[in-house]
Amino acid sequence: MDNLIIEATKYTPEISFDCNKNLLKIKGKSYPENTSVFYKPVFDWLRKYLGQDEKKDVTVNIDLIYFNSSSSKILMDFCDILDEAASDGKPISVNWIYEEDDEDAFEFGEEFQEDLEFVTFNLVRKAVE
Amino acid sequence: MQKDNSIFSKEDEVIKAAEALLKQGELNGENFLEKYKSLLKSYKKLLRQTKTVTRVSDNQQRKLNRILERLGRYVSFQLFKKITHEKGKVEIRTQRKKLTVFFSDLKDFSYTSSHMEGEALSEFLNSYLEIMTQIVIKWGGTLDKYMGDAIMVFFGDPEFTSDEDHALGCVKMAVEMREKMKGLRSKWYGLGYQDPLHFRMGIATGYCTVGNFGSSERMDYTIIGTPVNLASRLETAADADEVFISHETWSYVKDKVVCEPPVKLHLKGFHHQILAHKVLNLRDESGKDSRLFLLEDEEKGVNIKIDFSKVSKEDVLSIISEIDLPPEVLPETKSSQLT
Repeated sequence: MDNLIIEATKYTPEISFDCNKNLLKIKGKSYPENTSVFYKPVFDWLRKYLGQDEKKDVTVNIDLIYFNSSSSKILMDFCDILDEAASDGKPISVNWIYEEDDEDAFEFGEEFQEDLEFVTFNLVRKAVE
Repeated sequence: MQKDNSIFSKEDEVIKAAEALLKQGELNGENFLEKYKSLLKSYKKLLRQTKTVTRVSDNQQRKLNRILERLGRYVSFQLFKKITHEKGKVEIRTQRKKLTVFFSDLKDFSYTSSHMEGEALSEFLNSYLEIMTQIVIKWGGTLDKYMGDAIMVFFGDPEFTSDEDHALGCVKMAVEMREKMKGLRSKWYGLGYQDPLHFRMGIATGYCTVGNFGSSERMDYTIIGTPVNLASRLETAADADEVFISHETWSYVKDKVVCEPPVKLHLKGFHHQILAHKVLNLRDESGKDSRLFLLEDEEKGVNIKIDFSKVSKEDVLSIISEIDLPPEVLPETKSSQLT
């Protein structure tokens, strides 16, 4: 299947899903005008990708400096899909990347971590750019 | 912002399925139990997500409040209100308005500050600016900027009442600042600053261009125009603790403010002479100069005028006591008015 590349805009994040490297990246800011419309192709791709019968390690990097409430709902649905696939035996790691001086981002990561049972969820601190 | 219900499309489907099940009427059997389990699972998930979204939303609101509070310290209150309440895009846009513009600075501050240690200078300057800014806020001025010890304020934008209100508010602000400086000089002297500091003020009224200046990446809400240059030049021309106002400003405040007779000034940037008025003080509610004591009795040959903006009552009593006259000649009732 093809990779999914969506460039970042002022209100939406960069989406970079590489099915060959098994590396899925969401980076930037997320407060789109219509959240479900923006993320529909993301979910479509993810379901198709996870539907493949492969047991390769999947890494998901979420590096968002800001996201609105509807984006947080989308992120939870996104992580739920990953968790369901992980419960079926797929080895999936999620890296929640936050800037070292951003306590709020760290706390958001902890919120998401609490809801996941089967995914390996890591809180990754990065230096301020 | 348009409603975005489709991020809850899955939850909607679960509810519809549950409603359809109830309508069937058959509430027994394994099928019903499976559907019920599925509904319960979905409900639990929805509750979990709702709790998380609520916490995330609350945290973001708190973060926003913190940012706004910090931002509010870097811009004037009026501009902060304009930024946070105005709808529509922020863009380079200006308009012409009649404003009253104020400039002040500390006379010979460059020399004074060169003899101060860095920490003392910061503390001194910040305490001075803090006090003066409170007076600006009290009189409704828009604080444009600090330039070292200089302060630039304008009246009439973004909030407007009348040209008279703004001109008078500005002059009253200047008079209060001058009064405050007297107390500050005593305080600074007591703290060891041997050179008493004085300041100069200039005020001008007229049409300015006000709005966002700069580029789309970085803009400044400020004013430009002849009254800005004039207020600045009047301030430079003023002597220690003097307030020079332009002729147009004077025309708005002349019934409420006592000024010396106008002077003609040659100011840099102006080809013609500028008529300027030196503010003495405010008139009281009856329209009289509240700082002047006037006693006129032609029959008795008495004509006294005491300007309490220039002399204290103690000095006046001292002068009177030196007059070599028998006590019965001194009008006791009049001297009591001085106490």
